[in-house]
Amino acid sequence: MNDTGLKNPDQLVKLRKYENTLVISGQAFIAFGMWSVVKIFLQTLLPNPQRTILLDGHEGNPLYLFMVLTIEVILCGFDIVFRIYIGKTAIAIGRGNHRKSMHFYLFLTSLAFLIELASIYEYLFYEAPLVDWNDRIATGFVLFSSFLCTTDLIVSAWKVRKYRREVG
Amino acid sequence: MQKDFHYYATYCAAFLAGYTHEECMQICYSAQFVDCCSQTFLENIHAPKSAATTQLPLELVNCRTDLLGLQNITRIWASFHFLPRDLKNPNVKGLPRYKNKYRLICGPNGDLIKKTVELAKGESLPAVGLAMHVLADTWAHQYFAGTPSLVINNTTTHFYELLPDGTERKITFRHSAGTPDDLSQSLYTASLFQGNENSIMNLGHGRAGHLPDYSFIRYKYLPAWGHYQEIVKDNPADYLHAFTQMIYAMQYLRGSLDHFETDRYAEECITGLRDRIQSLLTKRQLDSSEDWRQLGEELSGKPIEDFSITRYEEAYLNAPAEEKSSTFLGQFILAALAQKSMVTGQIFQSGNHLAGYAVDYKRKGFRGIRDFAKLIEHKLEKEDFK
Repeated sequence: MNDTGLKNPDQLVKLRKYENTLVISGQAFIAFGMWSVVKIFLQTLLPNPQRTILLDGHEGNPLYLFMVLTIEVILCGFDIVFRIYIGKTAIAIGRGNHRKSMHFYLFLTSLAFLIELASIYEYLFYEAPLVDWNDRIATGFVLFSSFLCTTDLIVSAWKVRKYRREVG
Repeated sequence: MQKDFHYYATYCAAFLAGYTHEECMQICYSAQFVDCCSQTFLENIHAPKSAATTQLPLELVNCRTDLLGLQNITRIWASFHFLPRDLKNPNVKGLPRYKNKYRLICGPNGDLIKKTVELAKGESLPAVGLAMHVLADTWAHQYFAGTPSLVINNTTTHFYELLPDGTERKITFRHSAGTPDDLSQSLYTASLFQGNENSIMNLGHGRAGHLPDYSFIRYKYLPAWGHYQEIVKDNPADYLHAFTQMIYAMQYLRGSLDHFETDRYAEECITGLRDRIQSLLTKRQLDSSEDWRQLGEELSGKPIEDFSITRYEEAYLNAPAEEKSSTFLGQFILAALAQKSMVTGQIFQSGNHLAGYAVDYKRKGFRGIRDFAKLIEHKLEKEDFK
């Protein structure tokens, strides 16, 4: 409530709210990317059932192990770059510093949303059965948090676009 | 507000209300002294520490922010610098804890400022000065609360100065206490962001820096409590209201008027001075003391002594114990105790425990902090408690 008696237009208030949410979601999106890096290190140091499946009988072969690790690192790298780009763009849009069109950005966030959905599917049906309850709960928690963050990012991005058009 | 308004402008307002030069000097000294009467100062003169009307930065650094510490901080700042406007504001949603903090938001023309001015009626000149400090700050410090609270007092990077030519300029805050504010580039010092709800950094208008205390500035920002509503703060207009309301209040305190009503201003008293005061208020400078001093000396024809924190120290220290309350500082201390007692009592009676417990002496007798026994004795002498 604004005690001055002034009532800002509703669209303007909502625009500010979603811009703020976009900044926070963008920061969280990047933070979850950092988690991927941490996860790779932990999975390298600790016993990893998924890697056992990937190696598929080649556990004693250092070259094979090196290839698997390299592929994991490259994919992780793509993930981080992808997340940093989306996150930084979200922050720039939220702060009013993004001058280009939002179309490509919205396309990428939609792609990120689909990837999150795929990750959840993969986790539920392939990964979860292989690990114990502690891992399931912890990983599930992180995964769903990341999914919520991505959803928030997309919704906020669309809302910002909508209200910026209305406000002019 | 700062010394230019609390000291020199209060002098001018007191003179325009009809006080003599000597009376004006006492009133304006007391008004400025509210910003100086810290626990450290009181300890040095062996005076009751509960009469502290401010806390120095070094005192705040050492302050506890547990329940009792927060109550102590709130008692001081809400009583003297961020007088709440509406302790029963119904237009707030949330948990009780949030509502209590919201209801401490400072603003002019509330019930408490009426009580503050009426409390000073028939009392000493230091009491008048103290009331004027509180009144003036309700205009400058509105929209902030005198309790450490991130969810009330925080601000964002959405902070724009509204320049005289009609344009806007983004305000940049930096955290460099020793560097003066740069008006030409809208570079101002503010407190650091602290995520802790009860951090001292979130007390009062620290997050907005010194902006509320500059009379010339107009700005807009998003307060944390505003739910993305933008506030436009017009300091020149607010300061003019504060000035004319002080004149009106002092006319009442002098006895020229029978009643004090909120939202009334002695506009007629500044008829020939309006343009001069407006230009003084809108002049872009960090300190308007010299300009206000000139105006005051022109009005009274007498020189206005510089403010010195030690002016009345000797008299208080040298007075015998039974006569201390009759000295200037003694009278100020009594006024401070009375104001703090009244405001804390009102906050407590509204169901809000952020300023701690308050005991109704008339119903329950004396309880609590011994310092306030001095206030009770004074009231008994005046036969207030018949």
